[in-house]
Amino acid sequence: MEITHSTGAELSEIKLKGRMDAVWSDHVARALAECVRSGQHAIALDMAEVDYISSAGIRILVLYSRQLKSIQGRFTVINASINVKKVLELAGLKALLHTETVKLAATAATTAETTSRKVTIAQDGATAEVFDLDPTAALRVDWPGKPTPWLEGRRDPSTCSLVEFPLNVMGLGLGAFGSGDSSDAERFGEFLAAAGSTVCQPADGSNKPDYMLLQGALTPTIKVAYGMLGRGGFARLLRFDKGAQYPSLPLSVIAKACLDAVQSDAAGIVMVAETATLVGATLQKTPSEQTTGSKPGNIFTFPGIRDWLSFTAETAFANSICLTVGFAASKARASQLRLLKPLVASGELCGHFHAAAFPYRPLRKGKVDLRETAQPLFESEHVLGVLHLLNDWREATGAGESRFLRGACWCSPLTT
Amino acid sequence: MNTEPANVFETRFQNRLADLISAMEQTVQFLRQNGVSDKVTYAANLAIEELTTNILKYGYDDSAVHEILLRAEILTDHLLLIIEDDGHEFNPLLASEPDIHLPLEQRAVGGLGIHLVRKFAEEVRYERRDCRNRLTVVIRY
Repeated sequence: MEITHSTGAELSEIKLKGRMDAVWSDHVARALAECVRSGQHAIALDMAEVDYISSAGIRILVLYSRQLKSIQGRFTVINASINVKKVLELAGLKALLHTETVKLAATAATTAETTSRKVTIAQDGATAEVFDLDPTAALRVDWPGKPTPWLEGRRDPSTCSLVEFPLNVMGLGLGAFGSGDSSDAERFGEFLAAAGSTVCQPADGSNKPDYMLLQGALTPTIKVAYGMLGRGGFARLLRFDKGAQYPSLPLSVIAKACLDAVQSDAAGIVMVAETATLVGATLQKTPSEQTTGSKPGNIFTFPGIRDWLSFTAETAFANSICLTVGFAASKARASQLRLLKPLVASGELCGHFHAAAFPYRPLRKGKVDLRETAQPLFESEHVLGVLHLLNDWREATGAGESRFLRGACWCSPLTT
Repeated sequence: MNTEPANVFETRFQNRLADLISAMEQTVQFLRQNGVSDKVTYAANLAIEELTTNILKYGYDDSAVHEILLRAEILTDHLLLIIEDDGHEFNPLLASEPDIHLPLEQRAVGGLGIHLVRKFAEEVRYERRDCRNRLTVVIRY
């Protein structure tokens, strides 16, 4: 089997030569996966020189056609050989050959109608586009619970507050799902919430995140030990892409682009993005008296911090897709906002971000809806992990910061 | 003494994908060399791949090495394929037919193999004899 790949502006073409049987279909699937992962959502598969296809090959065609359709991309078989045509007809899958091109025209038309403006981003070659959602929207920020006892290693459930997460509340912090019963005390862990999707990874060392989604009358509720919330809608949507020059874009550059997009010195951000690497920590234990022993103090002091947190070695969750929720602010503004820490070595940009990683799936292009983008991530019923994102900027030895390929950021200025 | 007529090809292979593919290729080559049409060769190729990959996937309860027999007979007005294995009783013809009229989004990705074999062949039979599964495929010229 020969697989030739050529990329055009609008369409990627993959030309196959040989047999699409039980062995070679896997190779074709890998070529298609690579193409989609590199951001190409319109693929034409030239099958003029494929003289044999079995159900193993058809399976791949159906899977990719379905996947690309679900993200408003397109997948079509062109120049099918007589044998391929006949087998697809017998399988009732002529649709793979014809109707796709008709639908493409419709998609192109809708994309053209939505207006966006191109903006510059502080990395050569990277591209970004900003869509207006509700230009008057803002997020009112508040801090439920009380961080001091927890950060000093004293578990204090009496200071927790029960917080409901309907569609218009985003936020992060330390919390637990449940009614507030003391029996779920061990289930505390870092959480994030946006558009009715909530994820919490209990700090019991199991590294198994739980999640709750807004469904009908059921609104996810989290018992928050401490956290930061933003209530309201999103003003703008920023779509970014790393471009061809660099392998990925760092979180701090994306956060800065979001501040610029909402023309403010503080913003709440919900991002769904294809991940190159996540750098951060997960809480392995909930702070309590026993674990700090005779020396209570700030748990973030070295070397005690090693008991609490597990740092990601290098490239955790590479090639995943993640839902990131957080806040970013300039240095001056951050001093008036609690829980924000420097995002870069200079300290000029501060923030606090939690991310939940999911198995890779491509992201639809253009102006997309947050809930419609976030909820399908949970379809795999598999949240890989939740991380408190950190920037390890120590020269030479530092792991650096989390980096992304492309994605969507819903953002709004913060009001207090 | 070999009593088999010249227009019969028989091979035995182990239940591994690479061996299966090589047995399939040998059979296809035999058919071509004996003047079987492209259309019939295609149908035979598809039947062999679909039926034998099914055996590899669903036919065995252990991870031991098993032998599969594949036989092709070029007869006057049809081609006969016989596939035999020593796996547990497994009749692929009992699998429910996929609904090929559903739109693409709702189509199941499995179950198409047997459907295609039935479309290409005039007859597909299953028998269980002496603890062996035997599939017979008749492809009309």
